[in-house]
Amino acid sequence: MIAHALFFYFFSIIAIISAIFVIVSRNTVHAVFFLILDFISIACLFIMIGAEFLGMMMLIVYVGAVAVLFLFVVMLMNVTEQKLSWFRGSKRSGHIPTGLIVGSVILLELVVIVGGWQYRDTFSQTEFLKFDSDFTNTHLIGNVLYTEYIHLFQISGIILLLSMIGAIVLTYRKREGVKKQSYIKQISREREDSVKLVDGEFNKGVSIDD
Amino acid sequence: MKLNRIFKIIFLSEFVKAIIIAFKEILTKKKTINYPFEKGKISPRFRGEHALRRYPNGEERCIACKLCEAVCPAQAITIENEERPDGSRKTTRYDIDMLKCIYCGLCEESCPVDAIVQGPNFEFSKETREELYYNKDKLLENGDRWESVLAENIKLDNPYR
Amino acid sequence: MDIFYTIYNETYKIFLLLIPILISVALIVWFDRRVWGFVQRRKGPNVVGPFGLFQTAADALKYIFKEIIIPASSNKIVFILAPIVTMTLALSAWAVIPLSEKIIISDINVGILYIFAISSLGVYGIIMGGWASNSKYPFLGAIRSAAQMVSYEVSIGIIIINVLLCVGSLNLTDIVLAQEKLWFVIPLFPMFVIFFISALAETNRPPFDLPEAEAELVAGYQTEYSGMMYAMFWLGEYANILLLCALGSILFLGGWLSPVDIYPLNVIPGIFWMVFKILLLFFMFAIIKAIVPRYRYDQLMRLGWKVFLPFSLLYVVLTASFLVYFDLLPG
Repeated sequence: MIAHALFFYFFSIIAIISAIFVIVSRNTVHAVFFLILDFISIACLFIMIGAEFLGMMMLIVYVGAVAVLFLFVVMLMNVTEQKLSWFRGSKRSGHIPTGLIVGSVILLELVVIVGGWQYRDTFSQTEFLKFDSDFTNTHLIGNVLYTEYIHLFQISGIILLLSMIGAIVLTYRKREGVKKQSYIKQISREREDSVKLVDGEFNKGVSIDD
Repeated sequence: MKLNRIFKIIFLSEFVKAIIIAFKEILTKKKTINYPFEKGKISPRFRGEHALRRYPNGEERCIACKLCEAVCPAQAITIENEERPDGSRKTTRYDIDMLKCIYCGLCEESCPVDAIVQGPNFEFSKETREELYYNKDKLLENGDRWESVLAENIKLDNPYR
Repeated sequence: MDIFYTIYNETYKIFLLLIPILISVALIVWFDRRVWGFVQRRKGPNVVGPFGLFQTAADALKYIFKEIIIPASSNKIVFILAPIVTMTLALSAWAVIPLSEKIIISDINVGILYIFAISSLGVYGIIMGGWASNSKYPFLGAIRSAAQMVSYEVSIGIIIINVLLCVGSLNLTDIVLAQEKLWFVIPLFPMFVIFFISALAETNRPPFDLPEAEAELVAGYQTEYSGMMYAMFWLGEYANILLLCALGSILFLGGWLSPVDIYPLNVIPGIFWMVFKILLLFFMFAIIKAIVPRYRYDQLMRLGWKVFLPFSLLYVVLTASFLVYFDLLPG
């Protein structure tokens, strides 16, 4: 499968290059665009290994929603042009040591996790992981997610809900003296509430303020 | 809120009504006319391109009273006059700057002899400004060309003057 | 050599699909303007060709020969990329739309997710165009459009879940075949209405055409574009509208199936039914454009998040419990 390999290298090279450009590009909006490109090529890689459901979810969730919000924040905060003086080496900054420490801690954690990875003894006998070509991988993921890992799945959903509510609570403030429209009031106005028909006498008129 | 109104909102009754009206409108006769091939009706009072009229015997009507020049709010009219050998008072120059003109019709109204009139022609766009500085020859030529229509329009409008 | 044969094979299939789509986009623009005119007692474009059918071709020709102006302060690469992205995405989603049982480029397992992903990518063309123009109106238009499309995607997604519950598959062909007995428009009628309205918002059509609101934003994100780049935005937009009409007819109106399985109707080839249904939905799009005033932005957001989202979520619960209770769950 030469074509398969070609496509794999194509997408992975794009993924790596765009990941590098996310960091080095001087324009923040460009960085977000490269991030999107990275997401897309990773989604393509997912599709290539046959996990089309995951690939599509990657596109929908990360590219379609998360990255749009990123882009919003970056565009609205007007931080597009970064000076990046530390990158040029003209001025030393405190960011580099902090970044190095955080980066090395994350790397260490990854090494610990990946190095100490052990499958369960019964892993190969797990009912849900048996590959069955009759089922699409959407079915298979659903089978695993909603049986074996149902509690984890529900908990992660609750955590997301909590974070959403938390964000709303943190940013919500009640302001005094704000005039608001009530949609219910507006659409429930009847003709009788505002219009009165009166028979006016000729040459006398009607007094409207009663 | 009335129950009736709630049902109306939930079932989008106003949208449905609007769509029905739209369908009816689709089937009605269209008001558009294919302009260069068909033209709409123009009132006899329509104020279009200017023209200087003549008497049936070929004599110019204009007596150079300069009322139109005086009344013109845009000062688009320029008139010079001279006494002719036969003693009649006639113009030597009668220019209208069609670019200044606002087509108010005051010149036509002020004219005591119905000499300057505004005809039904509104399709006289030109490519250069110079072509729109009308002189006496051009105006008289307009008058000769549109005479039948102009006379008819004046006759129709006469009872209301 | 096998690879080249495959590439050749796929390429001609793609061209066989793309060219009719581009032509039908041109015709659909004409149809849209014509219906709009008719509702307003005008005649619409009727000069170029029979009934004005070639009006769009004439317009396109005009756009091709116009100068492409790139603003000096714009971000040039992104500025040029934006219409290309819009157009490409709008056309690439057609790869999985089954026009009949056989006429489909790639019948993938997650077809509906693919369309959903591609249409959620569509927002980037607009954001890129708006941002790269480096001007106020395009930027405001792009921000409005992005927020609007992201919000309405959520409700479209939940509506799609409703349909998927009844089908048990993400494959578009399966979705159509599941409607052989009963079109989903009947049990899921409220969802169909909400899908239709969300589709209007998703494609920036009136009454939700705030991103292009000509009274306040000139032309929204398209303000700085000219010539062929503008035309590409515009083609992409109509291709998207056509795509959502196709999606609506697949999800709710039974795709290429005939309305009733009786003799004279079921011998008509499926593709005619499909095209007929797409046209019917598009006709509704065009009529809506003619009859509604524009929404205010906060009303639009309120409708999306406070009305459509809870209602469609509730309907998911209803559908699921109905299916479980009567033991109708598929697969």
